Amino acid sequence: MDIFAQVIQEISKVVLGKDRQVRQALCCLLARGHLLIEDVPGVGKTTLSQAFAKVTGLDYQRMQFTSDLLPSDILGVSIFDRNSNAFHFHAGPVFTQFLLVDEINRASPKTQSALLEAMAEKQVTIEGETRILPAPFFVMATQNPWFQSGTFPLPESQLDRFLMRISLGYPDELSERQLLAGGDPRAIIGQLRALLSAEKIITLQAMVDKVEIRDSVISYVQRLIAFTRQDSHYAFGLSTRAALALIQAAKAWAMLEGREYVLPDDIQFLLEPVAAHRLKPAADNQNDGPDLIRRLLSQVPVVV
Amino acid sequence: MNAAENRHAVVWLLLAQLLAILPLVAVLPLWIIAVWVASAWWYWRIISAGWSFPIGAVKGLLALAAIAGVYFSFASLFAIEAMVAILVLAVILKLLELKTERDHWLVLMLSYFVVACNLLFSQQIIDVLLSLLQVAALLVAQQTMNRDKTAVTTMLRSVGLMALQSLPLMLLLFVIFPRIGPLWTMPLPGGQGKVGMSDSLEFGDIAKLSQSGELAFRVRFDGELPDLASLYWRGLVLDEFDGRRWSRNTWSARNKMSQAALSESFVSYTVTLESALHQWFYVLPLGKIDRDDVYYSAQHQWLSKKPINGRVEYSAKSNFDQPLMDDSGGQRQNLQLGSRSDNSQARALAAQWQEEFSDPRGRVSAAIAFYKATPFVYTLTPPLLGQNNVDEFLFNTQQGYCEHFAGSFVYLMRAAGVPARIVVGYHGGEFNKRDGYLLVHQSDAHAWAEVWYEDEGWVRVDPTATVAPSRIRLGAEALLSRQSGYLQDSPLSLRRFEWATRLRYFVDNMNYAWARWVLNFDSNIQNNFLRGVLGEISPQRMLIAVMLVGGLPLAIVAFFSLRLPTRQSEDLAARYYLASCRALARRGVPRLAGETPEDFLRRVMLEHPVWYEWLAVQTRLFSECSYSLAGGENYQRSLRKLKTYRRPRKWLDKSAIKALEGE
Repeated sequence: MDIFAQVIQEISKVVLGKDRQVRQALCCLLARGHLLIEDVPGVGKTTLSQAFAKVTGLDYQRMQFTSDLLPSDILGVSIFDRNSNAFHFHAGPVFTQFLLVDEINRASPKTQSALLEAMAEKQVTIEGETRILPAPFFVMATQNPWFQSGTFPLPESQLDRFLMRISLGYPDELSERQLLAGGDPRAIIGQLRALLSAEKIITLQAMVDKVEIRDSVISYVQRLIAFTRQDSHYAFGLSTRAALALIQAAKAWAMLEGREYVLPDDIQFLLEPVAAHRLKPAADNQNDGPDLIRRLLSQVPVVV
Repeated sequence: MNAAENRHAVVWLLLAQLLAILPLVAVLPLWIIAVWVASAWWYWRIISAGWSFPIGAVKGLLALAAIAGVYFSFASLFAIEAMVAILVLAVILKLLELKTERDHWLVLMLSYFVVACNLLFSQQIIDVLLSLLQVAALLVAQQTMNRDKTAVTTMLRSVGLMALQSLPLMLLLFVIFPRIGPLWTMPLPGGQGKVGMSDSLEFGDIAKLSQSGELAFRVRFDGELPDLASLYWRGLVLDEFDGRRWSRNTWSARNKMSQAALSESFVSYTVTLESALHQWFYVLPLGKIDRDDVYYSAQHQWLSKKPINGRVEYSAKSNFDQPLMDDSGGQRQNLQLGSRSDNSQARALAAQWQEEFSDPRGRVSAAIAFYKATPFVYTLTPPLLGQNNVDEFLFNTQQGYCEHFAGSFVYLMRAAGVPARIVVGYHGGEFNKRDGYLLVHQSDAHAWAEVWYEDEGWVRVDPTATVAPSRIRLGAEALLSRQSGYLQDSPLSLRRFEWATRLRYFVDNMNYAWARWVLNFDSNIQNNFLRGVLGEISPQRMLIAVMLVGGLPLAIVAFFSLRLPTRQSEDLAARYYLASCRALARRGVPRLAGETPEDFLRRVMLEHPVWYEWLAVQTRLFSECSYSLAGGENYQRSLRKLKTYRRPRKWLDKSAIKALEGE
């Protein structure tokens, strides 16, 4: 059994019946991306992230975002030390390998953008000094899909920083029954084995880059983004960054599938998690994200 | 869609509407534009500043005011211009109740009628091009209804595409649609503004006509162009005279000795009359017109059975040497002198000739000699003449234009007992070298005389020739171009410049071709054309023609567009794989465009397992070629197999697969 299957099996001990989402999260990590989980409270977002952190063997920090959170609460701050007569930098929670951000849309835009900048650059600049974040650096953020009062929805430009957006959804009947019958999942998390490590993940990430993607698949990606730019159902088309993200994710997915090359099936499978949050329906169009993705999948020819 | 939400569509609607209305200012009162500006502004305030739509009473008042305005502008509501004005005002005022999408459509559709109305007044190429522009604007406006934030160029492209798609249908309808004669004839436009010959003549009429540069007709000769000076385009014979005014004999018996007499040596030519308001045709004597709806009168003139409306084309043959005989015995009538004038001096002079010469020929030459001897001045602006106009002209003012000479000559001849009459028509013309046809303008209008000899019939005498010989040789233009008044307010005055003349000929060529091939396509030509193409005009043949012209292209288009895309792929692997998919589609298992090969294979496995094993092999080979192998020997081998096995097979024999897999 390969390492990926073991990882998934291990996590599945606490997150039941969510194989697909677990694999997508793993794919996101291997593609050097960040993950946004959008779902109602109580379906296991935090459990998933904790199990994920444990099994991947990464340093883990968890932050609950609130409206009074300041950028320095995330990034850290320099404090004057009277003994040494100098400023000392106290690193914030962002200096970790695995950062779980709960309810990202409750923080003010200023704080959000401080985090998102760190995600994009993999480094932070505090008081003129640039500090490199640990590697790998993986952010898993959750948000509630219903915009309540006191939240600041992420604008499209910032949503774009997340490689994927997934939702967990309610577990199926069988899984839920097992969950209800079993004990506290948090207790089980403590017993999970760390199957990966930071070094292994960095190696795997480098292997992702070597997965082959042929012209026929690249031109399929180009047809997809071109379609979103021309079709009147979309408020705006997919960016080049989105296409790059799609290709990177597809490579990671191919590796997870045990292939050394990308199939159009990988692109199709990842189109919704990678592209749905980057698309917006045109003003007079009531279709939402999934409809837009279905339209893309059915209208754009795979083989030409 | 609420109209107010789509500003883009509103702007285009207003633009297209303005464009449709604007060219009509030539015939409609200018205040209609003011009404448009006010309505458009009001409507814009309604959708942008939240003004309210006018209440019913206000709308009623506006409609009444509009109708009253039309009535005061045209003094009638039933002239064509007034009717168009009412339509235009209705389209404009509809803006003030543009509440729903349906209203929006209604205004757009009515605007197409406004565009069509433009063509009621003129159908030159330039008008047709203008109406194409207007239709394009309307089509764009129509598109903005359903799509927003699209570049104008994109919309224009689809407008062009739509126009091209409708072109074959338009051509088909143009050729086969029955030309229905006018249900009622409405003088277009206005009547009095039109230049042209009328069926009566008073001194000064032709002089007025000669100041117009408008085209009267065009002629295309089948053979060589005859000498311009010999071209007397005979139009109307004026043999009734009341003492001041010459008019046409309304009692026109049909000539029995008609066309059959035309001898062998004739010239044949085709005349395209510009829109005329009369009932007669111009031919060279003695001519014959090939048409069913004309008859030949005793005066050797060709008359239409019904009033001519719009452009007419006819072909004719003429023999210049054949005498104009007349056996109707009506020549006595051509001696009357009328009661409205006295002209005693002229009568006295004529009586003197009558005594002196017993032979009519002698009296005619005496009169010609008289004209030669008297210092007549040929002018476009002759002085006004009083009660006894012939006397005053001959002995007093001695200044005149062709109708003065012809009129006085005929008067003298009648007084001298020689039957004589006036003929009006055109003389000469201007030869367009570019395209080889003759242009006859209103300024070539001419009047001359015909006298009756028992043995020779009606003989042409042109007294104007005795006065100004150069006018007869060169035509009115050459003689008059130095005189003030001649064409003074016409763009034709540009004729001093060589390039302007060439440009004028070019434009005229275009209009001639347009008139000849498009505007003149009347029921006559249509029947001939269809008969020529179909052999006979029967419902079955028409049906076949429609099927062939309309149905066949449609069928071809349908064949190509309903087939699965057959465009050959650049990529060989994709080409063979797609060929496999097409072959399978023909067997009722189509692959969807967005379906990946693996997905398709899974579906085939579930739904059509009989093809599964073959397709599994093809899919694996295609996947290798397209997605995993980067080239090399393996790639070539997979590609070869993909090609070899691209036709669907029902794999029943497992060993066959094994053999293939093992290759």
